[in-house]
Amino acid sequence: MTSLTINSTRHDIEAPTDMPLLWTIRDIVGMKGTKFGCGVGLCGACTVHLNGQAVRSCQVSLSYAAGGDITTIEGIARSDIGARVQAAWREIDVPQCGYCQPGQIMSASALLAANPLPSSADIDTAMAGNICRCGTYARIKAAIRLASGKEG
Amino acid sequence: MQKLAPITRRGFLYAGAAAGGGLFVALAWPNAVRADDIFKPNDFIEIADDGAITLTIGKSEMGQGTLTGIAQLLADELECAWQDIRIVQAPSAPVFGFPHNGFMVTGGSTGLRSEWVRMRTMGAAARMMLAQAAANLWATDVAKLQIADSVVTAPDGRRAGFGELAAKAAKLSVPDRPALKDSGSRTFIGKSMARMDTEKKVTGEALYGIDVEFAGMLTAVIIAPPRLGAPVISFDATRALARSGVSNVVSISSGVAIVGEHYWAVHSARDDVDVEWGESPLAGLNMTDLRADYRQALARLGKVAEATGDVNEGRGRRAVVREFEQPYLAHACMEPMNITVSIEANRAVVWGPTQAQTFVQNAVAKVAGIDPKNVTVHTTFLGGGFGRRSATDFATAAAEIAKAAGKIVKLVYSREDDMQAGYYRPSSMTRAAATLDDAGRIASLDVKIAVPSVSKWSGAHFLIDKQGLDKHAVEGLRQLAYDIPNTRVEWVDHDPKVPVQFWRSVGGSHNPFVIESLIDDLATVAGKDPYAFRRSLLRGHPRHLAVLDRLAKEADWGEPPAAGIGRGIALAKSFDSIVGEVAEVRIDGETLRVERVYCVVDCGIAVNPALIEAQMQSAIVYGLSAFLRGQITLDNGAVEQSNFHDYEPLRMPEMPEIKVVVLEGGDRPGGVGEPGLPPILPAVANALRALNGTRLTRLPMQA
Repeated sequence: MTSLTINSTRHDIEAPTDMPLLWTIRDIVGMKGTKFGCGVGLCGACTVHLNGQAVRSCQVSLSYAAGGDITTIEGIARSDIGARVQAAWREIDVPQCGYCQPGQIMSASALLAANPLPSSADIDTAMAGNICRCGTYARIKAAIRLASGKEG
Repeated sequence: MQKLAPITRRGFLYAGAAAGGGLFVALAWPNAVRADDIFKPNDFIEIADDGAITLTIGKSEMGQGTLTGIAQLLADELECAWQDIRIVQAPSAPVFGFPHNGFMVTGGSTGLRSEWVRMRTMGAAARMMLAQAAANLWATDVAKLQIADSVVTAPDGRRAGFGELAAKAAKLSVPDRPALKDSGSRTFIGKSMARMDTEKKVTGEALYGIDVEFAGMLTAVIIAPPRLGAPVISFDATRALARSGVSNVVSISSGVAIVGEHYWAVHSARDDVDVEWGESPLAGLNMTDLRADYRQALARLGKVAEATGDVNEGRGRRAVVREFEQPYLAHACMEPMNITVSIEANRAVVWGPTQAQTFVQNAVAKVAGIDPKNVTVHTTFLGGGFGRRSATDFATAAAEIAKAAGKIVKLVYSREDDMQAGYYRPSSMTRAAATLDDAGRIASLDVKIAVPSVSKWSGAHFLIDKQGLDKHAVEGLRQLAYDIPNTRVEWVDHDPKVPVQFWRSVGGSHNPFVIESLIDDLATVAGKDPYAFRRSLLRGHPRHLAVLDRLAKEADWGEPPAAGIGRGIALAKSFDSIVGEVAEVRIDGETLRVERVYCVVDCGIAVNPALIEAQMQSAIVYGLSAFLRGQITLDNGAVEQSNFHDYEPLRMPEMPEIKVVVLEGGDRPGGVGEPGLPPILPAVANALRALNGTRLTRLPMQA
């Protein structure tokens, strides 16, 4: 039995301890907002926050995450920064297919928590690990700037 | 009861009382319905007595914004309030398919083009019936009523909402051939309405195929053959079956499937199945042989796709001859391939991300041994499609597994499976020769392409003409707008047997690269500016000229580019839309950086300019990923790329600044999802040539 706190709710989980956090969240806890993209930490679709840090949940084992405080896309609106990021995403109408966007929003929220006024280069660096095959990068960047209060 | 309008050019328009009260309206073309499909209430539009408008759409949403655009077509005629519309994804039925054949397929940038008449006609019919209901209620002349924002208003100020009027309207007869608005009075067409699906996609609630889950459902992965197409001889699953969470291991036509509790359980068991594979039909195939085979294919006689004048007699004295090689490309949708299938006695149900519900019905029916009519496909959101999801290989595989397991099964590909299991943009080799006359005009263009038939591979035989010509093989090579008196286009149907499939813009992804590279070289030989040279060849093509001229203006083409910047221009028409692009590039150490792209698109009527801009950007990014480093290669019949480290799409730091201008040069919508792609490859190639003189004829650049 491993315990995790996900979006402020405690879950006692019966699963192999080598199971990645991604699959634990999706298939054991049953929250589908966190996405599987590559399984090797290259695309960022599975990004969640573990103890406040953005992590690729496909690369974090359940045993590593044990006892941790996890925020997923379903819970990001509870933080002021997360709510602002989502509001900016709506305002700019960022998503296309939308599949990578939970990961993008989690990475963007972590960026703004660490760096409230990121430069264009800061955004590029922080978001380089999140692939969007629809090519929404320009709107993602605009939305991050909007959320940071540094529009345009 | 339902009222039926006479059969008109626009098909059967029918309407009546919705099952839950209120009004429904539907429109079906005779070719797209079977007797048992028609007269089901709630097809297409239902207006409930609380005013909620439910619009059922047969197109798949894979990011292109089709649901939003289609709703705009309806709303423009219905004159409803935008927030009253709820969208429902249609179950598989011919009535929701293409008007001309009933096929439910989302592809070829046809979404708005195929719904253009249908949605507006239904909207107009519903509006007229609602207005007539109000006129009857108030004993007034229907012509005097105002209709806007889901409310009918009389001259004396009496008002009634669509919800109040719906049940009364349902009792009226259906208008025959409702008149549609002219372009001056549009309310939703032409407006950048926000996407209908944004909210769900921002909160993580959007349901994709991979998110489908039912009690008792099993998840499967496939161990695919190490070399494409190799059959399973035997397998030993003893160790896998001893693992917790693994319930079945079964052999199917495309490999060995491990079935179990959830993805991690079955994915982790891959190494615990020992499979003996037979010989792959592609054993031994490598890139050297592939190239040699293509070159040999170009020596064979092909099918003539176009012949005007005489390319031999009409040759000019100065010539440019080039040979182009373009690779296989993976679609690499962000959502790995997946689908969920349930097979019962005489019925099957499918849930998932597909661009081709009709083909999935057929594929699953074949496995289950039932009538395709008894297969129902429920479409989820698609985490990207780009043509990959119009294939049916994954549906066939999932059906085989579900049949063997006797349970509902969700088949999920790993990224490696997704990238290595085939269905690529075809590779090709093209030889192109053009000549200039003494006045510096193009005298002849002679193009021969060797490429497999994507239409044949996808089972879309209706796209192959009576002469056996696959139009996708030669689109963008023939019927060019340029004034060239002598042309010849020939296609050699060369099939290396690597599975191929439609890939964003199809022939447009490789053919305009050839033509627009060649045109640039001809301009150089003629001593002319590439923009001015193209301009001189486009007499009688005002839409092309308008795009080109606006592009030159946006890119400040008259001024030389900044130091260190190379600038290239390209123009291509595809899917009824004309797109011109200028790329500005510089070389940063070893790396080509695309700094800026200007894009001008004339897609006829621009239904939603913001979504058109997004699609142009999207296609440019997709094309740049291919241009810079996209390639699928084979060694001894095995695909060499496996994940995003060796098939890496463009990332944010590489994103160019993109400026898009939307022009309206036609009287109906053109395609939008794909036409932004074809010009970007030659625009960047031409920019590179302008920068350092290198003419790139073999893609990708970083080969």
